[in-house]
Amino acid sequence: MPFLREAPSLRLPGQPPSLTLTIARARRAPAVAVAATNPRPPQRRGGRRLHHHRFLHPPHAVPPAGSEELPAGTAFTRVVTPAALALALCNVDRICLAVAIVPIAAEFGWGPAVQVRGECV
Amino acid sequence: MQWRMDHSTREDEERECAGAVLSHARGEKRDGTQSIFSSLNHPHITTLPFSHASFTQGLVQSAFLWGYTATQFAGGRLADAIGGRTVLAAGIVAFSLAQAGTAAALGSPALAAAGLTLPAVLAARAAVGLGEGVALPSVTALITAHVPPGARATALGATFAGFHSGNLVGLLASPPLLAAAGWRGLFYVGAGAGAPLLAAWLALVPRRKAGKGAPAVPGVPGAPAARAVPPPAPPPSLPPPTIPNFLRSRPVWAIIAANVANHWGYFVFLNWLPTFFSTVLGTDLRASAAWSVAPWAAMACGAAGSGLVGDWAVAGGVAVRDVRRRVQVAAFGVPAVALGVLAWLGGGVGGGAAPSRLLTPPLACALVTLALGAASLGQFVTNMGDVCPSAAGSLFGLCNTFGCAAGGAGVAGAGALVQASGGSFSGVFAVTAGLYLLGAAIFWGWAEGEAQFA
Repeated sequence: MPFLREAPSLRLPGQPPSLTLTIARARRAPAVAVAATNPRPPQRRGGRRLHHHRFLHPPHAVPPAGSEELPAGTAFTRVVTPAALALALCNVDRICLAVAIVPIAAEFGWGPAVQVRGECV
Repeated sequence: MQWRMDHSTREDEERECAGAVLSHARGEKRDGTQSIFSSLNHPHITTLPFSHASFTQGLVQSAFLWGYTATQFAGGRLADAIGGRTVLAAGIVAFSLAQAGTAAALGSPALAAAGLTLPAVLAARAAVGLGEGVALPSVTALITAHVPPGARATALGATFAGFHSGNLVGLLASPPLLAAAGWRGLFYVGAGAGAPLLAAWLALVPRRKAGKGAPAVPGVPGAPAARAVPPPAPPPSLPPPTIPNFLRSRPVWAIIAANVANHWGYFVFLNWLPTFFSTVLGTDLRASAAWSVAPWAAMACGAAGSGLVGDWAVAGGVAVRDVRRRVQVAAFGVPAVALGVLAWLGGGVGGGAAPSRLLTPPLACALVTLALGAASLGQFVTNMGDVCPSAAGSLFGLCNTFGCAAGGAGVAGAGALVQASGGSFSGVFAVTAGLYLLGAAIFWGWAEGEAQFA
């Protein structure tokens, strides 16, 4: 399994950046070549334990060049949670009219024909 | 829901509490004031010209929807261009101001004197729609940009769980807020909540990197020079993500078909089920207040489960295309069956026949909850990031524009169908089930798991 042996060295933790780039560039071509000639996708290697591991730590842990990908945990804290809260407030603001319309219509004497509902998507 | 029953002694609170999803189906009069929710959706009530009421209702209801639909594609395009962080921050400001503007428009004596209260309220609701329209495209773009592919479905599912939870929170929190602070307070609380949200948004969500999408500059520290898992080499000539190219792509039409079926069903459920429960099943709404909550909770759970299932299956080695297709077809198949049962038991098509005695309100509620929970398992939103990772916001905006239009058509079409069939909902349920099956078939045939655009 030459690919699996080489893969960890590609990240080169703790190495100075210049050395990282030099070595990584030198090894990039063979790594890609091995993967390209391998008929099985690398994601399929390993047993069930590894699959579960990759579910939590997806195989794209090292994002492609120019990517804005964050590690999965960071992404959930910094993107998913605020996004979920923003979408929640969107719907709170929208649907509260469905409740508020009752006293509003009573106060303004609106009949059914001017009902303003807020519960559509 | 015992807590609801506890404070249902006062007349106003009682109406407010019932003012959740089910409320407007209520037809009886209380303290001499006809419930404003009473006859709009009641095709049985012949004293009210149904077509006229539904026309006005549609016009007014569409105020939010016009704004919401208008900014779908523009919001997505903008999010792809300048980043979802900025676009949704502007959206939060806009819909919060418009939320306060709704209360201001309602309370303005000058507008009232000029007779412009209603147009001003319509404008304010349209502005809320404009602001909220950018939210989902921005979120889709942000997640596609920042979340690793193997966790994207989970991330989207979690945000959609938040989306549905907002409806749940709004329905549950509005009645007590209304009782405590009045409707003005309710609007201002909602608007004020935008400020801490905006602060958290700007503090948490990462800024867009300069030169996004450009190749990594050699020598820049931290620039990833190689990947542990090389991506599959893209075919040399992928078309750019433009509207004409989107519309020429079968995988995009698969997503549009799923989006349309999903939104049609969603809108019909939300807008017409209360009427179905009230007029066909004769439900006592006060006793069934909890039922308005169950479908929303099911949708939130379904959305979260959707992402977990999707990412789990892909991580387990199932091809992306197969995961998306199989889960989406199941997500349409289950509600189609549930609706088929509802249509079958709910009265003969076209005759307005009495519903079967087998169809008790709890069974109907369970079927609806099952249908909505299963439908929100769908994978078509995640699939947008699969087929167009470079411009997922634009694709979302385009597809959701179709979806919103279909939703509006669903609400109006359901009204016409119910009217034509003498008050029977079987036709509506059958048509919706048919659309689910059609969407499932198109998605099965045309969906892809690989990037289709450069």
